[in-house]
Amino acid sequence: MGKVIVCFCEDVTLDEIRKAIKEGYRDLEHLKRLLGIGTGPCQGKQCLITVARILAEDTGISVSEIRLPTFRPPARPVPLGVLAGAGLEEE
Amino acid sequence: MTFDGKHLNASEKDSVASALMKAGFYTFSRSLKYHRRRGYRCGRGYCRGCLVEINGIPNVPACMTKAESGMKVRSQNAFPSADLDFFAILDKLSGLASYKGLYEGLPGKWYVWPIAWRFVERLVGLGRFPTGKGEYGGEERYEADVVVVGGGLSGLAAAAVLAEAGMNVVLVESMDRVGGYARLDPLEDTGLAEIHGYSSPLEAVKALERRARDAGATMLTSTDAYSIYPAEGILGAYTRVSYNRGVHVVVRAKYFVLTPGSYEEPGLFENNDMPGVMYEYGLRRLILDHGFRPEEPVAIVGSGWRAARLSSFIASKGVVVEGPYGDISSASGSRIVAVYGGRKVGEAIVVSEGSRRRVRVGYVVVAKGLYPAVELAAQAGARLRFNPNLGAYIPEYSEDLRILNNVFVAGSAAGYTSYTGRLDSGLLAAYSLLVVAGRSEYAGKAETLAEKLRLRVAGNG
Repeated sequence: MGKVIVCFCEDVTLDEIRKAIKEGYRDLEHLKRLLGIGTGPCQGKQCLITVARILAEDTGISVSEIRLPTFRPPARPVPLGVLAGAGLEEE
Repeated sequence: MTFDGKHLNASEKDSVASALMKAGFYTFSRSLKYHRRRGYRCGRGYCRGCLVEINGIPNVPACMTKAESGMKVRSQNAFPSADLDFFAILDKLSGLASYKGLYEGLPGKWYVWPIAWRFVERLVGLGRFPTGKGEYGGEERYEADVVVVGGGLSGLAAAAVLAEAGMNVVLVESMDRVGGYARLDPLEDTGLAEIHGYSSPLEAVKALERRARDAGATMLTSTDAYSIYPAEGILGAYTRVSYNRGVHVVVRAKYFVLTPGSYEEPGLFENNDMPGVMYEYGLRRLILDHGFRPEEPVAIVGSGWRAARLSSFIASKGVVVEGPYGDISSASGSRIVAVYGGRKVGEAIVVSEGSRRRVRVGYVVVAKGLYPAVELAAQAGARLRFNPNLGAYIPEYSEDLRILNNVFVAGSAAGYTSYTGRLDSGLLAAYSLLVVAGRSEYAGKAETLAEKLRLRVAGNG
């Protein structure tokens, strides 16, 4: 059986998410902390909504009741040098 | 340029990603946990599948970087090479370990940790420490009446209207040119043609870009907006000058129009992360911007008008199209349940009505749903609400497309996915903004458009 990947950054499979939900993790925030979904370089842009839908499907909770994790800056990856160098005047 | 020491040629039009694929390299790096093959997927920088090391700078998205002669490109998380990676054995052994991964596998005795960490660090982690020198310094500051985030169809429409009304407009676009998804769609769209008189989405963005520029809008391309502070009137962004150079950008504005578009819903089937599986935007950009020609058949995963348009587009390039198919989340119909291949996709397993067959394909292109880009709206303080028509979340907004006093949202980020919906919502955001800014002569236009959009519920196209 090949893997069905849901979170491409942290290699989290559909199977792993379903197992975790079965074990009682019924909150996106808990799944995030346990499996690392949404914490990779793409920051959940590809996986979060899919995981929310799987969670709703497997638990019977309505998707509209599932809370998304908080969105904080940076919304896109920024090299630290850009932030650190911002205050420096160009020579 | 070289990739892991092997020489390859790149043309003027090539990104690092397209140059690698034209030379037959589809696996750019390996994934963090299971060391699976990673390569080109989204074609616009957000999926981070194509990260490589360039001249000693790690984690550079290959699809967003222009190919230059002399570049030394290296794969990441792979030993000895991207195609032959010894640690890929972890993928095969993963069934033996807990699904909770490396955390649970760490031995409990404290004195084992330093050794265990070293081993774990070698297995995971993005790239090596930089050996190349980055040049990051300085800051560009802009003052504007309005900052528009995203230069797709809706953003350009808003920018054109606002600039023509005399507003000082700064538009921030993350790609190296404006136009968004519509720029890569040169075929006729009946809605756009009948209502707005544009022969295609491509012609629409060309015309709107010209209008916005002629009216004096400033366009910052290759610039990622990463933070928003509406109360203070500040947008934080950064311009990617090249793979090792970046400049911080601060735009001070009274009003914000958020038109960041959407991310794409991934296909769900076995080995859906294999190189050769990509999103719609990714394939369109490869063909139109980089002159890439798929030699093998292309399978489409998706349904509805987007999959149909994509199918016509690919066929118009003389490439064999298979599908559109569903995936394992589909309830019925022909669906792809798995893809197999060596270095990239070679065949798809298609199941329908109890039958199971192999279809020879070289690429699988996913054109399912859209996940609106809600990060900036959420940071600004908008509440997110699940939209059942769309199957995704969009920010809560009023009838004049306002999410806060001075923040407006439009385009597919507001749930309007058809071309006419994107364009009309962009126009409405601009008219509403002008009314809020005291230009009451636009109230009539805003009302007519709001009425039109009310009939076309968000998420329904």
